[in-house]
Amino acid sequence: MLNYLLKRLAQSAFTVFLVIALIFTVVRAIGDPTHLMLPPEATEADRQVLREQMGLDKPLPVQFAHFVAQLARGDFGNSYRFSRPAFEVVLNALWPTLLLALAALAVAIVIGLPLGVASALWPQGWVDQVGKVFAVFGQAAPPFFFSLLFVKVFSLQWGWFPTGGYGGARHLVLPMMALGWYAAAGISRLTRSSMSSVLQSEYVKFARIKGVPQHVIVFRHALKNALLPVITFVSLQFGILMGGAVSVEVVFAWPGMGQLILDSINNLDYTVVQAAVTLAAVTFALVNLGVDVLYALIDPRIRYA
Amino acid sequence: MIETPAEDIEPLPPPPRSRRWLGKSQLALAALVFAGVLLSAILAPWLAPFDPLAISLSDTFQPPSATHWLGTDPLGRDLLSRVMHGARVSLLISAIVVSLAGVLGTLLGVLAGYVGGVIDAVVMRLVDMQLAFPAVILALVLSGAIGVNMSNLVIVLTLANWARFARITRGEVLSLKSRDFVLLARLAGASPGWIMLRHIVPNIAGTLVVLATLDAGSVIILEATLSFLGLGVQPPTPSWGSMIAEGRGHLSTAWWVCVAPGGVLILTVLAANLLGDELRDRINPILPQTW
Repeated sequence: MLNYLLKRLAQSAFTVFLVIALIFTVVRAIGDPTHLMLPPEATEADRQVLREQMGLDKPLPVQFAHFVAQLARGDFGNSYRFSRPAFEVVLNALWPTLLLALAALAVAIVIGLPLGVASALWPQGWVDQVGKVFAVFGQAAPPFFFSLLFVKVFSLQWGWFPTGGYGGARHLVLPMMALGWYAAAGISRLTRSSMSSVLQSEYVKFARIKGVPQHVIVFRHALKNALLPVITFVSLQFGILMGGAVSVEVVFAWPGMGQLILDSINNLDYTVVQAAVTLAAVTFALVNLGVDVLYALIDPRIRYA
Repeated sequence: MIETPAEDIEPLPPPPRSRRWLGKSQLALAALVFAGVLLSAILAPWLAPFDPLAISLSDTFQPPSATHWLGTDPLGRDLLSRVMHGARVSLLISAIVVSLAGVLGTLLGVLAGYVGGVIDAVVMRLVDMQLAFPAVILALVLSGAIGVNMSNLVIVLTLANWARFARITRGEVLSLKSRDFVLLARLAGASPGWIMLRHIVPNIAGTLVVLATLDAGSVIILEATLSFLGLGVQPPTPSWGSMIAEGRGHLSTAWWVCVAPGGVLILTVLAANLLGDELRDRINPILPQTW
């Protein structure tokens, strides 16, 4: 188990390093931030001075080494736009996005899992039929379009929820539904197919022959095994949700990472872009690592492979 | 003599049809919808009732009617015509992206699976990185970096989509690699390149077709998302995503400006997904259902 953990840890670290290197390169290509930092009437000479101060005149590998050394100290540099540490700016936006993504994931699990199990237990029953329609639409519509529809119906038409902004639980309802639907669709479909193949397996048949009651078979014997692929899927969903959150945040004026990255790109505030993407990469790597460890704990076959 | 208690053996249950989602008629409907959207995209310049770019300030915000089937937008442009021309843009981009991502991913996946070693390790780390990282954020940063235009959009979307092809192709190749026909070809002295091209790739072609169809829907959605965010197709060129963005401010008074392109987008992706599912069931049912 320890070996496995160390191996996975090394892999995650390497993945994060790759992302950091990639983002560093890409962000350098976005543009010259000195145009933004100095007033338009500044001369080329002024810009050159500033570039030298910021180390932008040095060759890329030197800048990269410097950047990594700073990172190691937890220093992402200052945001040009806010004149505050970029890390702080990003942390402020990370929480709303995490909240949105986690709430959406919770919605997806709470809806998708029971729906999938019920559909597998009574194939072609009414739950299965409703679930199909639910899933097919959830996977076909981009979250931002659901967001707009929800705003139209539930806030503009019926006035149940605010049209946007960040605040109490009422502000969270529409964005989390719009974002969660897609994941709920995937979870319900996967649970359904995984559950129905487990229900066909020999050991479930054997339990039936022994006379084990149906609810024990479903919840104790079948569900545990059926959940394995679902757990992997959920971990991948987290990344997708964080990404999908970008467009949902824009619709609901939700002050999260997506908005921040979008604004920062438009304002050439590249320390913030760097910090945001690095932090996002670390978050995903940690989530994936956590899921893999959880997986190894649940399924002993993985640990020793 | 061994007696077989034939009557005690239950007949085998029919193979699980749980993956089957659709009756024949629903499938036909999906095919019909997809063909319809595709045709109206191709024939848009001849079929569209109006010029998609023609501004008419006396016709702004017309609700759907006999003249303007889907209504008009804030500039009085006919939405049906714009949706049709938008389909042209969105579907063309998606088709190019799926082909490019498919070729790139297959190339890397076959190399990784067949050659193994360092190449495999590097490619798989890249795949992990790409799958662990949300495509939208990657695309956001990339399009911020290399600028916003149509060809960059294609590059960004391709970079965000190749990894799924690579991962699945690699798995298929690993299992093909030890099959007799590959070993025999190797014994016969075929070069690795020849084996990959003539023996491996034809055997995964079916899987690739399924993957491409299943991928089409998510590429259309990603393209629409970027265009919605202003990082994809730029106005006045109509694309579904940018049209939805144009309608965003008019939800309370003119919902159809959003719903016309959005509804067609959903129908198209829905049809593509259903067709992809059906193809998967027929060609390679063990492919993961959702990924």
